[in-house]
Amino acid sequence: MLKINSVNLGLKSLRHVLILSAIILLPACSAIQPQESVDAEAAIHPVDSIVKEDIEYAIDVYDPWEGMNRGTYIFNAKLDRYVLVPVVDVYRGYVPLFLRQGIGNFFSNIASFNHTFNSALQLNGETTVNNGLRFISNTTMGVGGIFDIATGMGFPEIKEDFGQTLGYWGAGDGPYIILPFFGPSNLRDTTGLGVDFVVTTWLTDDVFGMNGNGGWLIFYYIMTGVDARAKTSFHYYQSGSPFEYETIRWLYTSGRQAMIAR
Amino acid sequence: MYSFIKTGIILLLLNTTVVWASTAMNYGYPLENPYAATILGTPNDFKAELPRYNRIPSKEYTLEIPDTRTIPDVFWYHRQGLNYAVTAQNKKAPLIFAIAGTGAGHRSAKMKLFQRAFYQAGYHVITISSPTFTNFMVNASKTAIPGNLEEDSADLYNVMQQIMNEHSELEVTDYNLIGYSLGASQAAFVARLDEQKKAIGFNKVLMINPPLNLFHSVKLLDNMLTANIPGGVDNFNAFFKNFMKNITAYYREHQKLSLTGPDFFYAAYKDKNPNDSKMQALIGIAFRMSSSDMMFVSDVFNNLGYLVPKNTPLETTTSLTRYSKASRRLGFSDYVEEIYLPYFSKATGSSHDELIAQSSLLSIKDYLQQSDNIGLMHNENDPILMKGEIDTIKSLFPGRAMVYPYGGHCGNMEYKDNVAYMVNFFSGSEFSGSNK
Repeated sequence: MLKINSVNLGLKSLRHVLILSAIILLPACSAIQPQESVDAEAAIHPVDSIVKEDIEYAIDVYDPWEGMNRGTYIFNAKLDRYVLVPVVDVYRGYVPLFLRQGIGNFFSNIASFNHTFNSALQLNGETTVNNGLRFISNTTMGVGGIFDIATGMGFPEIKEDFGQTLGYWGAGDGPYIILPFFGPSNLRDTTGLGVDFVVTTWLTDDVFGMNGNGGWLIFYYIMTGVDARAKTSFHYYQSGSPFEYETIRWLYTSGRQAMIAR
Repeated sequence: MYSFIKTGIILLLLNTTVVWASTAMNYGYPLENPYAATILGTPNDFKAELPRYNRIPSKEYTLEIPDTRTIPDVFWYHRQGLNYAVTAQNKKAPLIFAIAGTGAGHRSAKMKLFQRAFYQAGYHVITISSPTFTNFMVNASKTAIPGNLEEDSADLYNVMQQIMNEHSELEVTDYNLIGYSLGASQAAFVARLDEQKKAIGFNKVLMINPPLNLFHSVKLLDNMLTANIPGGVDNFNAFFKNFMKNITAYYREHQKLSLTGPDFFYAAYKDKNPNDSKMQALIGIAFRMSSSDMMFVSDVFNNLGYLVPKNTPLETTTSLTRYSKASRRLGFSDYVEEIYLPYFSKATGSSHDELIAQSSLLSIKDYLQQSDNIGLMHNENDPILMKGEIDTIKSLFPGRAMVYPYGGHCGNMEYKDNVAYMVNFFSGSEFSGSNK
C-alpha cells in the first residue's frame, strides 16, 4: 500500500513540478530583435517607414519573453512531429472509432465537472445548470461519461476553465507564454491551468476513488494527452506562414478574450 | 490559404443589409451571395457525402530536392524537403495529381476534399502544395519568385516526375490533373508542358475557378481589403475588434445551439446579414495574409532587400513581429510591381505588359480551345473575375465548360452537385459541360 502511494505521490509531484517549472522557468528573456547591420544598405521598404508608432496593431500582444517562447514553440513543434503525431497515428490506426469516441467522451465528461465549477464561480446560473446537468447525466446514464447523452438532451458542452474565471473577475492576460507540451498560454491562463489540475485531481482521486492507483494515473495522463492531441487538427508550420508564431499568438489571445467576454 | 484563420476569424457581423435571395434556377447550393459563398464555403447539410479524412489512407511524404539550396534558419522547419501526400488504392488504378490554390498547402481543406472524393471514386490521389506556399517556394521553386505561370508550372512538373520516381509501388492505369484557383491555371500550363515533354501523359485535366488573368484578380483582391476597411488598413485593429465583439455577442446569444465551426458562421450569416463591404474586407484580409507571407519568404530567401535589409541574419528565434506588421501593409500588387516584374523583365527581356499578358489564360488560348481533354468548372459570380471575364473564360473551353450560376470563388466545391461533376468528369466517358 505504502509503495503504491509513493508512486502516486511521485506522479502528483511530477505534474505539479511540470506546471510550476513552466511558471518559474520564465526568466526575463526578451525577444531577439533582428540585427540589421549598420552599414547594410537600407531595404527598399524599410520597416520604420511603414510601421507607425501611433497605430494600434492587432498583431501586438504583450510578449516580454518572446525569445524563450519562440524556443519553446520550436521544442513543441519537434515534440509534436517526433512523438505526439506518431503516437496519435498509432492510436487512430489501432483503436476503433467507437472506442476513441468513448475515450474522448470520458475525458470530456471529467472536464465537465470543472466547467460546472467555473461556471458557478462566474455566477452564471444558466451555464452552471447546463454543465452540472450534463456532468450528472453523462456520469450516470452515460455510464461514467463513456457515452455523451447530454448533448442530445439539450445540455451541450460549454467550456469554462479557471483562466476564464480569472478573466471574468478582471484579471488581464499577463505576459504571453508558450508552455512546453501545452502550447500557447499566458500568465492568467497558466495559473488557471494549475487550478484546473487541482480541481480535476480532486475529482478523480477523492470522488472517483482513483487515489493511490499508480497504474491508473499513468494511463490517465497519457490518454488525456493522446485524446487531446487527436482532437486537435493543428499542425505546426502547416499554415505555411513565416509569421505563424505571431498569428497563433494573436488568435490565441483574442480567442481567449472572446471566450471570457461571452 | 490560412484555413484556420478563415474558419477562425471569418465572418461577418454588423447589421446592414444583404440580399438573401431565394434559390434561382435548378441549382441547390444555398449561398447566392458571391462573398458569402467564398467565405463560408458549403454548409454541412449541403456537402457531398464522402468518407471522413481520417478514414482514408492518406500518407504524408517528404521529397528531398537534390538541388543544393541554402534554406535560411528562419525557415528551418522546411529544410526536410517538399511535403506532399499520397492516398493510394491497394490495386491498379488511375492517378490524379491535385494542385492547391494561392498560398495553400497540400493539406488545405480543398485538397482534402480532392483526396476524399477521388479516393472514394477509385483513384490514387497525390496532393501538391501551391508554388506560392512557403514549403514549395523554399524547396522546389527555381526562383522562389512565384506568379509566373510557365516557371511555376515547370517546377510543378518536375516535382510530379520526382514523386512518381519515388513511388514505383503505385500501379497506375492513367494520369490526370486537377487544380483550383491559381492551381487551375497552373494545371493548364503543366498539361501544355507535358504535351511537349511527354514525361507523364495526362488523360484528363479539370480546372476549377481559375482566374482569367492572375494579375487582374490580384488587383481585385487587394482592392477588397483597402477599399472596405473604414479609414484604411491602419484601422484594421478597430475593424477586427468590432468583428470579434460581434461574434462573441452572437455566440453568447446562441451558445446552447451548440454549433461548431462552419455551421456556427453559417447560422450567424443567415441571422445577421452582413453587408458586402464587410465580407469583401474579410476576403481581402485572408488574401493579404497569404500574399504578404509569400512576399516575405521571397524577400528573405532571395536576399532581395525588399523589406528585410540584405544579409540580415534571421535566426530560428528572431522576432518577426515588425516584419509581419510591415508586410501586411504591402499588397500582392506591390509584390508584382516591385519584385515580380523587375525580376522577370530582367531575366527574360520581356516588357511589363508582355509579362502581364503571359499571366493570362489567353496566352495559351489556342492550346485550351483545341484540347478536348481539358475541362472547366467555374461560377458565374466568381468575385476574383472582372466584369465580362467569365465569358472570355467560357470561350476558351467550347463544349467543356460547366459554369454554375453562383458559388463565388471556390465556395461551392464541396457541394454535392459539384463533387459529382468533378468525379464524373474524370470517370465518365463523355463530357457533360453546359456552356450557357
